[in-house]
Amino acid sequence: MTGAKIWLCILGSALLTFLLRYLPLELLAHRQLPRPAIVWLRFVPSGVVAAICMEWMCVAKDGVALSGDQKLFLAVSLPSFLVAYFSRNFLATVLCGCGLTALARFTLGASSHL
Amino acid sequence: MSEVSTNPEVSTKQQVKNGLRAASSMMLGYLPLGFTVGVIALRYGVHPHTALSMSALIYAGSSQLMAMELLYSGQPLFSILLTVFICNLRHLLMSASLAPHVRSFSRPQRSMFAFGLCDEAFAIHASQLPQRPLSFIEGITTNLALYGALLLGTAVAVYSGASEVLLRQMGLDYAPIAMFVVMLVMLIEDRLQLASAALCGILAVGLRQSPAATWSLVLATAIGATLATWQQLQREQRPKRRPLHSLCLDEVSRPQP
Repeated sequence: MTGAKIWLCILGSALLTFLLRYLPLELLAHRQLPRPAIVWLRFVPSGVVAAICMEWMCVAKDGVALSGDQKLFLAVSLPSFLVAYFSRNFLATVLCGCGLTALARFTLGASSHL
Repeated sequence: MSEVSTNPEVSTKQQVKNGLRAASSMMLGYLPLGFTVGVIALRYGVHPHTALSMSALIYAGSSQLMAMELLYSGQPLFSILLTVFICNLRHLLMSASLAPHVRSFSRPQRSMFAFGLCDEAFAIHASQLPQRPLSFIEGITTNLALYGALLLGTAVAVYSGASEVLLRQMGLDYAPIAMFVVMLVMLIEDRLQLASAALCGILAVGLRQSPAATWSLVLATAIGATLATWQQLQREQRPKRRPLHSLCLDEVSRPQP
């Protein structure tokens, strides 16, 4: 891969990402949306976060579902969800999730690796 | 909370403080994500400066990882950009859902705010909106703090030459998921949202295995939100079929002219 191609890719991606984030904000800010659209947009935040969360949890970067790492993540997610639900605290949830992941890898060793 | 929403004259200092407080916990998960981006860049032989510019300019963790993988496997430029576009289409939905809340922002303010609207920043803003209106200074402080965290994470990784082993040993690859888990718990307000979120999550994983893999996030969210909207609108129409209830309310409220 050449330097020029990397830079074209970076600049192109940067522009596309910015436009996708900016255009709706600009075009819809001063428009009164119809009721169904407002209701629809209310379900977007939780829906998109759930979708991202589940993909990170269950699907590896190469698209394989429930590989070694993902099985571990899924197992760790049960206590993490409980901690998140009852504490509503980021630090507690991250410490619980990362701690359990590290602990599982340390104790289970190679079997928890890809 | 109610004091904040009724009093628009919150001091700038307080707004910056609020913004930093909102971002502080999320930065915890964002540093490792920046670190991961840096580690993967090194693995693909990307120059440290280039990797850092990537985080600085694109500022979208997951599509940076995807773009690097496609670059490395020799995909043509057009198909890389198309993939990034489709993968980031979800930002179109996120941005649209925040649009009614940024009316008070000027155009340059909106564009600055939009640049920093990554998944995590969006989740923070969306989870705070039911409590108080979005202020520009608070919003941009949150965005900048997260931006700084991603850059710092990337910089530490690329200039220290860190490897993935350390990241995995400390379980840091779970950190971004843990952040989304908390955000999800905070974003869900009622049963219908819970049902739609569950559906979106399951659909996303299913669609990732289909030929429409790059569309998975957008399609899953769109389908889940549409079904939930249909359900909600149905519920809203129901009281009209029971005029007795509304009549009683009218009788009570009428005799005090």
